[in-house]
Amino acid sequence: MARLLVIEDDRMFATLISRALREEGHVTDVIGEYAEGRMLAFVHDYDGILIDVGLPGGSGLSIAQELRKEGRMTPIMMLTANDSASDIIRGLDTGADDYLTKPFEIDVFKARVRALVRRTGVRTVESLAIGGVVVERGTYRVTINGRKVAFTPKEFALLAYLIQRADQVVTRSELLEKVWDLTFDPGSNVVDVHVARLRAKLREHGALPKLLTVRGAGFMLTLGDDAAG
Amino acid sequence: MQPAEPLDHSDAQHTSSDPSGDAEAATGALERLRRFGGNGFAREMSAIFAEQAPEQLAAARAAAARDDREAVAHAAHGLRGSCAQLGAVHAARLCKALETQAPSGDLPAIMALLAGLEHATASHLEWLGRELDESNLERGQ
Repeated sequence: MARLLVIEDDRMFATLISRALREEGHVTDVIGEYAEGRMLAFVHDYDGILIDVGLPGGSGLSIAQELRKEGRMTPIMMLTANDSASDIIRGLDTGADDYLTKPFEIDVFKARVRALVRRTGVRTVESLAIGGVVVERGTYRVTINGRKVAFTPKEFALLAYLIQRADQVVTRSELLEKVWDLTFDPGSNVVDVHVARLRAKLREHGALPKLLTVRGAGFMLTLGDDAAG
Repeated sequence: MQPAEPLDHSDAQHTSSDPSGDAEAATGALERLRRFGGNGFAREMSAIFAEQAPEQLAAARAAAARDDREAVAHAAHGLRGSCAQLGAVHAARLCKALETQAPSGDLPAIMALLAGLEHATASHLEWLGRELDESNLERGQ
């Protein structure tokens, strides 16, 4: 799962791209114009940014150029109908890591995004597993010790993220950002409620990994039992 | 600087009722959308295009009326990607011609291209509507 920024003013492409990225398990911010997209690209630490070249208010190329000038190395994919060799060269030389021309095949787009976010070290494998708990991203299927178990979409996203970060402490604010797509604390106990439900479900189905509360820090999914919980 | 491509008036005057002059590309594009998200998603994409394309064409026409060549080219560029993604090959080709010619071409030729683009887009939307309605009937929706 990666957190991605999409700056695309074409509503059809924005819808298509959002759906494809959601299917891949990514969290996305989709912005339709230059100024707000540029601002978000600088304010947040995204795992990847997808930018349309021709935006209302400015060129997507200049966002890439400015990010690089500031030393920001967030992987960038340019999306555009400009398909000439000189356009592609200019896009890549400006600082983009990839350049995808419209029209594109959706499966190719997904694969290119997987390659893009690999640059940040985000694991994008189709299934994740820990101690007999397997989550399959493409199908939203979860099995525990070989038996299929039903999870809500949010529980699924939470479990997938915790498996990605297994044996590491994950903070509430990180979960809010990566699973709930919130960059602020809404002041509710939404994370704790979902963690408690997930923990209960894992126990009920005899899962080996434990979902521990690390006091004052956050949560950890682990096969070990030496953490406080 | 590269020489500008000559205006292709045969493009502008294209009146075929097939999906923007390339049935195979249009059918393939629609099929890919269906495979990805089902007929409902293909309808959603078509509905967005039906809403967005006239806005972009109106923006291009308004820009042409005030002789704002850059804005004509920008509107044509905006429309080109979605036309191409939906397999409206002829419309996409006209967008590209308009984008290329708008900055330096003569206004009557630009208006002719724009009229051709409006026709090609409308034809494609009609074709999409028919295809999606037929597939709904086949599915009993």
